[in-house]
Amino acid sequence: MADNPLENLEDSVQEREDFFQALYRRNDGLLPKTLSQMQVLVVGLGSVGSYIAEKLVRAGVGSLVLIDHDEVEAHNLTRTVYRAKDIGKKKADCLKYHLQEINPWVSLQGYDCKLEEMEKNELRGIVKKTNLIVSGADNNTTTAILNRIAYHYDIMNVSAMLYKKAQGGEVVFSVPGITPCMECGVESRYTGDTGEVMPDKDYGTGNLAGELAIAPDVHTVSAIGAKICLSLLSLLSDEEVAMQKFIQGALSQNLHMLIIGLSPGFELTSHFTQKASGQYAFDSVWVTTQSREDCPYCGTKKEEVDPISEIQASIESIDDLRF
Amino acid sequence: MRKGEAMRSMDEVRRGILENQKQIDEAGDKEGQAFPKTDKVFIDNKGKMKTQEEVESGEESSSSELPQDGLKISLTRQAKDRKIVKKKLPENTQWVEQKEKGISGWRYEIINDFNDEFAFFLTYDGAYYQVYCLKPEIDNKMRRGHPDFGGAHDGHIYSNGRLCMGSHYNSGWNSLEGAYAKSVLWSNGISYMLHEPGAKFPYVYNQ
Repeated sequence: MADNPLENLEDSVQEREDFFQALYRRNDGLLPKTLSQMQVLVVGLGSVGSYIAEKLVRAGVGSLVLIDHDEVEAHNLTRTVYRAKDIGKKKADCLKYHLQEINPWVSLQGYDCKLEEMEKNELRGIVKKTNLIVSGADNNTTTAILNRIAYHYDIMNVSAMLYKKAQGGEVVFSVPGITPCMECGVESRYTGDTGEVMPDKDYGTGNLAGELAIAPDVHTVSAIGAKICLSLLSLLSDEEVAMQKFIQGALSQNLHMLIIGLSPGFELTSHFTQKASGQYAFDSVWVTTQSREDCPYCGTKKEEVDPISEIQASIESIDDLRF
Repeated sequence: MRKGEAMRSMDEVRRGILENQKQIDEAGDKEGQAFPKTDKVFIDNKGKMKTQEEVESGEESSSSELPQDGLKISLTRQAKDRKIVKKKLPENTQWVEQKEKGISGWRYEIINDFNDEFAFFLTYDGAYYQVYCLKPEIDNKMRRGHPDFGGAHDGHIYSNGRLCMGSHYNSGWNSLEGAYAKSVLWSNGISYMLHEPGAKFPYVYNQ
């Protein structure tokens, strides 16, 4: 043990720096070295959230905040990073442990609760330091709250999901002031007549029902989501890197939603790709979405209310409201 | 590290992207631009995906200007809601708050078209307006496997008493008055089921 603790601290700072520099060697010119200074908030640590979190850590993102109240169940093992010994334990704790094993220098905070249950000032503190949100929750309210937080606190936001038994998937992202908010981006899917892509609900939990999908399909969409996350983070760096250019190209053309066909003939993509030769599965279409004029977050009637102050606790039982 | 240190700010990011957008617009179809311009695909207000050509040939333009700034609303949600409640909800509506549980909302009672009494609790969950059925205790009937409720889907009500009012907005609604109207409609649907043995909920999934 060193006599001077400060000397020890300096050593560990250098060790951390060396470790991150080693990670960047394979991404040189593709990703910025300042990723180690960035923080990502991941809410929902299931098949999409846990996968993206792992890719961000492997790429050298310096800090992650992980939120999920769920426990690992046996069926999660088919398409997440969790292991049999994790069954029955909190996803937030297990993922934290898993990520720490990949990079012992990454800063990790895990919260085994719902976003809605977090202490509001603590959540504000996290959000103020966050550069990007990954929305992986299986609950529309949580996703909507994250959308509002992203716009109010000026944070980029990425969501990836699958639908129709993984015949297709989508990655949507928002950059406040540039793109519509995520709620406007996906609104037409739910309120329009494209009923085929509405996720089913689980009436027991009130959440979206887990989509039946094999791991390679989930991870195809999640991998695209991870690339978009890293590209968006690259925008925050002065270093000119390829991923920055990649996402600038999309944003410059108002493209902020990608629909991916995982099965041949997936109608949302094949409508556009069917005339091209050599098309089968894994076709994709970039989409421009629009802000709803009356959207209180990205429309012309913006609200100034802090969305965190409006979060309500979940209601488990209404028995004591009956009077 | 604090957000923004040794990094570009979000304002700088925005400036760069807006400049690129301008360059692409000015370049038109000119070759050799930094990002090749692609034909855009849009989602219209009916949830259908359309090519740029389809959108441009439509009678009404679906394109809208990218919002830069807007009207700032200073009223808090509660104050705005209070006005709506006073104007549009039943006179018996009361504000209910359980501070220790972090729950607050509006309780109101109605007598619907079937002459059945209903009591509801309407709350804002942080994103949407949700309504819970307090009376009659349909959630408890459902939990006990009452024969009128073959499955939760049949009654459009969750096991904790929350109404399912559609596929979006986490089964709630995006306006207080809309949620109230949906709760009244729902009550008529459930009354019909209860009064007519074997009858199905009369409204479609999205009511």
